[in-house]
Amino acid sequence: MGHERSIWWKIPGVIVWMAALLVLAIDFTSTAGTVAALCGVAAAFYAATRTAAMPVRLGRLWLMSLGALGVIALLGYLMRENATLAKVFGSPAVYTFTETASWGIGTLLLLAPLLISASRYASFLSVEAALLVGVFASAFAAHRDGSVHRPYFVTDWLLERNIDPLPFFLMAGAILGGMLIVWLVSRRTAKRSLFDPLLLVAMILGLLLFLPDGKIRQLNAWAAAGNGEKEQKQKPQGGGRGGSDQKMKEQKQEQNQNQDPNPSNGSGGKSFPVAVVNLHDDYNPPYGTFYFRQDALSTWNGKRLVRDASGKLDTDVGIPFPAEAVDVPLRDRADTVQQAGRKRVAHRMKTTVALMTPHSKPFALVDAARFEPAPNPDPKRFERAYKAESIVLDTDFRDLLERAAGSDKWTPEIWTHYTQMPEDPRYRKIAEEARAALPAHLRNVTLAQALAVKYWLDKNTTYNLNVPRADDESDPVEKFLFGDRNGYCVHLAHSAAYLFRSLGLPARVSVGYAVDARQRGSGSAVLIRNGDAHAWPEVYVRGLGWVALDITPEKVATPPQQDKADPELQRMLGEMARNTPASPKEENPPPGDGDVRKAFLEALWALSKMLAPLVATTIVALYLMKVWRRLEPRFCSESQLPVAAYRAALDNLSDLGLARSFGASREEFAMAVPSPEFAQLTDAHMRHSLGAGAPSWTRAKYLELTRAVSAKAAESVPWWRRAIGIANPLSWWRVS
Amino acid sequence: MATYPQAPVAVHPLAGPYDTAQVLRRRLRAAVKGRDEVIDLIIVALLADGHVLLEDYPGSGKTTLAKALGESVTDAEGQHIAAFRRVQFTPDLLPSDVSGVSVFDVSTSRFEFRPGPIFAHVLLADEINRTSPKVQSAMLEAMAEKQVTVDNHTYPLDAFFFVIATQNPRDLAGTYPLPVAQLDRFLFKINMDYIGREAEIDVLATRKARRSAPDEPLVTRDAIVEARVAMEEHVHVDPRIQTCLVDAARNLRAHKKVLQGLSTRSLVLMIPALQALALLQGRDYVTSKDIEYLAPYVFGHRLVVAPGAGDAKAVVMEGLKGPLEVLTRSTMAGAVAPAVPQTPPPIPPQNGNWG
Repeated sequence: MGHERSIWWKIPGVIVWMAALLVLAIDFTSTAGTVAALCGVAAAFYAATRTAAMPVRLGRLWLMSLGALGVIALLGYLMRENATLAKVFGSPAVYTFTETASWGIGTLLLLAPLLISASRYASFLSVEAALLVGVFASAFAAHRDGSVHRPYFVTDWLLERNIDPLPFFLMAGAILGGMLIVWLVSRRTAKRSLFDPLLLVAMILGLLLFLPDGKIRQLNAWAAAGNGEKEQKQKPQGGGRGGSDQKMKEQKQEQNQNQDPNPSNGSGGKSFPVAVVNLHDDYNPPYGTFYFRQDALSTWNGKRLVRDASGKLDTDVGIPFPAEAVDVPLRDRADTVQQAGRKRVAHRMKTTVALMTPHSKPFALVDAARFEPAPNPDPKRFERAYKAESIVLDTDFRDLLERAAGSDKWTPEIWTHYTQMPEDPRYRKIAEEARAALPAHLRNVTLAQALAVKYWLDKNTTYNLNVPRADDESDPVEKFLFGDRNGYCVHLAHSAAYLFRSLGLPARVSVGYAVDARQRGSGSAVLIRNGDAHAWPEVYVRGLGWVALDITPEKVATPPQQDKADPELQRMLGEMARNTPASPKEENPPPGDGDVRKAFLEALWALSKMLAPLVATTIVALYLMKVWRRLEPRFCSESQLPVAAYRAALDNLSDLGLARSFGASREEFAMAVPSPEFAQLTDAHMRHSLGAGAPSWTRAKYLELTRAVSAKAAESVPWWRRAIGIANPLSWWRVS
Repeated sequence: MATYPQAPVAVHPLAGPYDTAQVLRRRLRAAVKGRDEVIDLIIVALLADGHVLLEDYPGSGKTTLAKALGESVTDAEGQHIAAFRRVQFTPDLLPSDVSGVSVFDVSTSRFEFRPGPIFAHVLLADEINRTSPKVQSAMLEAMAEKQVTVDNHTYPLDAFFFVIATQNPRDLAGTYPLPVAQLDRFLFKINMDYIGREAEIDVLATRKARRSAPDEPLVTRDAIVEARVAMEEHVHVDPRIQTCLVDAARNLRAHKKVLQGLSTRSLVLMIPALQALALLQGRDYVTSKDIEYLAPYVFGHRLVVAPGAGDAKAVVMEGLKGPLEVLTRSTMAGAVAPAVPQTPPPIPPQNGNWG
């Protein structure tokens, strides 16, 4: 004991704690706050080393730390709320200062006492370990399957250099874990206690209980997807896929931040179903893909395309979930009546959509014409359901080439709106280059020009998910199109839209899901998975409205979602959405399929039902013991009288809140009790126990003394205190 | 001292010794005001056949106390031993000044031993730390062995022989502080503080009355010596008491503030002191309270604590607490001696030097 280890042993601890604070702080505070928290860790270690030798009382230390923390929090709050300070220094400066101060000092004030405590008592070591594990676990809980992508600056830096972040994070995790072990073992002086594993188990249960609701739901949806397609779950995933998928989600989230949450519910890299669409008629899109539009981006804000804020344009999207049947206001409706001698252009088709994850707005097969509410077929499995009627095209874009672009009902402002783009001659140059590839007779056909642009993009770009995210603040196109031309749907869709616009074609980017039409197979259900989230360019075709003209690069660096949706799962979910059970056994969903938290609470309830009789029996036993100890002097043997009577008196006093403190002698306690009878009892007891023998009193005398003790002592105690004492089944427990 | 009601002495063999102790107590209390605790401790030391070191300032009543003690004792057999002697120790004092000297008697042509002041029932050794080590060691031999050796001839001291030594806690210049080994000869080291206000007023008020001898009867030397024997025989010391003492000593030896722990001898000396205290309080058994009360006086000066660790008495109480609690709890288990070995409380990890 007392062997002071070298300072080098502390370094793993510093690193582990710094990593923990980094993970913890980066999501909550500014860069300055994070750096301050890291400095706080270093300061806490320094302070703990310096004060470890001082005989400071732990209780006092914690009290002081928590008090100081409260003061700091209060000061920070006051400073942030103070208008004058913000005026004088500017609110960013005040914010940075308060964040720095509260994170730095807060870390110091909490970590230093913890380290000091842990250096004295092994149980605090467990607390420390549990905290560290909790911090890392909570960070990873949001990004399952090892798809860690925070902090962004690390991920982006790695991606820009074509390094897969996953192995990097795994290695970092392994190093941190090793350091954690070294750090904990290097300080463990006392023997390992049973407390440690118990604490960890409690920690894990607590995590499960207090995880945000959405996380559990995701887990649930994921479990539902995995149920019945085990082989798919076990299928090894491509190295970077998990992260990449995640990345795309993230990107979408970012993209829609100022407009709309993304259509899918972004989460882990594992593919899970987000919705299932039942087609009421057999339909195969001529262009081979089911496009489900949720939102559209058409306003050029100087940097990129965003959703139209005026609400006057793009009226075909942005409709809330229907409470009653609503018709979608469309400027141009495709002709659904078959003209004599001509091919049918489009027809109406009804679909039912059942969502499995929360969505902010409904989506429908392009083009949505009407939304109707629908009952949720299975609230346990589906978020909500609605019916959508769409006007679906029967013709490919190639068949529309003779049509004009834009609408004749449009005002010049609307034309400007849909053709606005960066004032960069390079777009026009690329567009002209694409146009030049057209055969001469098509060069001046308006929509053929769009097709030419598409072909040019197909040829000259590479589909690659491992590129930096396109964020709200930057142009997703410029670096892509005039750079290495490596990108994914967002880059492609924006580039196409810009190039279309540069040719004077009205274009926009639509956001939603795209599912390969072949996936439907022979069934009527189309399963939409999180990986199907997509953005695609659209051109306005006169008389038809917006028509998708998606870019499909010939070169693919990272293939898009490649694992096929399980047709069995698709069929099953489709049937569930239609509320027709697939098989009798499905009426009782298999265990593990339900809500995780609910299952946990049910388990807890079952456990408590088992424990309740045990607890009740224990309480009854405690009361019986209490009563027996009072009655013992009446029935015990003569030789036991001094002990039994004294014990009964002690129990009575304990009920009144009078108990001997640790280390005090019996005689001392006797003096503190306002009853001379108790002193006599004490004396008799001591003579019996330590002396040659107790006085030869009769049992009646002992009983009388015992009664007198409680009567006299009770005089000075309020009635409620006595009542509490009598009701307390454990009052005798500590009597000694 | 304890004020909890005391049971009357029921056991006959101790009735005499108890009376003796009470008479002595009353006589001393009449002579010295406001020093009840010191008086009790001195009686305990007297009954336990030990000696007392008083650490106090001049004029605190120690001479009065020692003299009153000496005057309370009569010599039943008419021996020529003085009841009370006082020696003021100075640096130039010689061993023979204390023990006595052989003088050549011309009439008999033989050396005749003239006993020194040490041949008394009660000896007040004033400022014992002012004299040279050789006088101190002569004194301490007499205290330990109850004999004096002069010219290679050993003269036994009376069995009663009781020393009250004093030293001034301040004013240490030019003194020879007693080493721990010699402090070990004293059963108690008592630090005396100024007496209370009421007691001091009482001292002034009873100034005249205290000059005349109190009405109480005298105590014979034989009564004291008999009391010592009876006490050892009849005051019950439970095995758990001894266990507690040993555990406390082991605790203290392992204590991180302690440089040198308790000797086994100090534990042996503790037993009669405990018995004497029990007797004085009218009990025929020793309890944990006795240990708690006497431990600081008996163990305090035998313990060498680390510099800066504070008061040795506080350290003693710290080490005593656990074993005492075990002892106290054991009484509920009946009169059976507990076989549970007491492990010392966990010592917090030593992160640095206390000091």
